[in-house]
Amino acid sequence: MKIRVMTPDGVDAFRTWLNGGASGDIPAELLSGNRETNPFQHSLEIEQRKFTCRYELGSYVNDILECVPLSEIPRNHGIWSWFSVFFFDSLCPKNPDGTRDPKESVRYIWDVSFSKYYRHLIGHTVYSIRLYGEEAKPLFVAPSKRIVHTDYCEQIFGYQDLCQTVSFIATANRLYFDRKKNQIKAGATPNTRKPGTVRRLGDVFNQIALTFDVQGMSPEQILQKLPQEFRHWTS
Amino acid sequence: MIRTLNYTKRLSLSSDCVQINLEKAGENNLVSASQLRLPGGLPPNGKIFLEAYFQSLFQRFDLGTVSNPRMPEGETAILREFYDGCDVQFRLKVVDVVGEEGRIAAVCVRINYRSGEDGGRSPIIPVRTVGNLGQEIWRVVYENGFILELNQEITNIKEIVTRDRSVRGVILPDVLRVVLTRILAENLNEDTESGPAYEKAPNWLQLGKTFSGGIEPPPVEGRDSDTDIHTWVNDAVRGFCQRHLFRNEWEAERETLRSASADRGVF
Repeated sequence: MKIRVMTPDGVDAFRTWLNGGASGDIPAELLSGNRETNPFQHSLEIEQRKFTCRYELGSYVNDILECVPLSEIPRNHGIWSWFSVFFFDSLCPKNPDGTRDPKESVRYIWDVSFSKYYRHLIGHTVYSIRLYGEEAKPLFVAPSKRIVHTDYCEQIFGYQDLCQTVSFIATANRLYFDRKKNQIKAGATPNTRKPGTVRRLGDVFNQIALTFDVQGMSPEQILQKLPQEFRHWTS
Repeated sequence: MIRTLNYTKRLSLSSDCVQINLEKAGENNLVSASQLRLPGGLPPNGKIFLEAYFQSLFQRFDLGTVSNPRMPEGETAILREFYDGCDVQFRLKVVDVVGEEGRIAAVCVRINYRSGEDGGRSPIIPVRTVGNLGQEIWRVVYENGFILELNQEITNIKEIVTRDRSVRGVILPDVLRVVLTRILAENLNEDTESGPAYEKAPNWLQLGKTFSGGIEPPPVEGRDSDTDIHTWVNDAVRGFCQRHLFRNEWEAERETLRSASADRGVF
C-alpha cells in the first residue's frame, strides 16, 4: 500500500476511535479516507509484516523512509499517526472476542511534549534508530515478543538532556543489556533509585557531565568513571 | 542552603559570550556564531564546541580552539534533523585536551539565538506545537522558563498566532498576563531554596514596566497581596495592547475578511 499522511480530521477520528476502545477492525477511512488522509509527498510503498519487537518494526519503517530526512517528517507530522493505524493490529492486537486493550493515546498519536514524546511506538523508534544506530536496539526489545514501551526506555528517556548523548545510551546498554538473551537484565529498572540501577546511572551521569565532555567520550571511558555501585553489572 | 562543589574550577561563561544566529537558507536552517568572547586563563589548545539541542535531538559544531577559533560555515553550518517548531537551545563548551582529557574548562548553557524569521530579535518566549491539547488552542507552561504551547492539530497554528492580525491580539495579551502574574506571584525573579531565579524574569518585568508607563513592579516587601500584582499586570497588558493597537488590527482584519466574503458573494 502507498504510504499516506493523516490529516488533523483523521487524527481526531483516530483519537475518538481509540477513546471508544478501538474494538473490531480498523476503520478503512482512517487508512485511506479522503478527509482523513492525504498522499505522502514521496511515493513509497509499505506492507504488513509480523514483528517480534518494537525495534524490528521501527527498523522496517526506517528502511522504507531511508530517503526522507527527519526534518521533513517532524514529530507532529501526520505520517506517524498513519503508521500507527496501518500497524495497529501489531501494536494493539485484537482479543479473541474482537475487543482490544489500547494503551494511552500518545503511543499511537505523537505528543511532542517533553515528558511524553518518547512513548510513540513507531515514530520515536525510527528517530532513535537514526540518532543512535545499533545502540537503539536495547531500548526497544522486550522478552514478551510484543511491541511495547519498556521500563528501560521510559527511564532512559526520563533523562532527556542525557539522551542527546549517544555515550549515555551506549553506557547504559553496556551495563544493563544482556546481548545473549537479547533483553534487559533483571533488576535494572526498579522504580526506586536503588544503587547501580538505571535511575542512579542518570543521576551519576549528570554529575559526570558537569565536569567532563561526555559527548566526546566513549562508553568505555565513562564506565571507568562510574562508582563501585555499577561494577556488578559489568562483571 | 544549596552548596555547589566545583573542584575542577570550571568557569561559567556569561550568556553573551557568543552571538548565535539562525537563518533560513532554502530548506535548511544555518547556524552562524559571531562575537566570541572568552575570558583569559583558558587552555590555548582547549577545544570549543557549540551544541544545539532539543529533547533527544543534538548536534555539535566544532569552533576550533581557544587560540584559533573558527566559525561554522557552508555544509558544517547546517542545523540538521531539527524541525520547525523545535525549541532549539544552544550551549558553548571549552574542553581541555591537555590536562585531564575531556575536562570542561568553561561552559555556558541556554544561549539565546537570534532568528532571521523574527527580524533578528531574540524571542522572549519560545513557541512550540504539541499534541493532546484537545479543544485547547494554546497554553503557557513553565519548564525552566515559560513556553507558549500551541495545538499541533491546527494547521499552521504557529504562523497564525504570530502573524494573523485577527488572532494574535486575542492571544498575546493573555500570554503576557499569565507570565507576569506568575513571575510576581511565585517570586520567580528571585533565588529560592527550590532553585535559582528564572533567568528571563528581569526581561519580562522590564517589558511590563515599559508597557505600564515606567511603573516598577510591586516589590515583595509591603505588597498588598494579589491586588497590587493584578493592578500592575493589568496596566502592563493595557499598555501592550495600546502599543500594538490590537483592537484596530482586529477590526481591520475583520473588515478585510468581510469585504473578501462579499466579493465572493457570501453575503
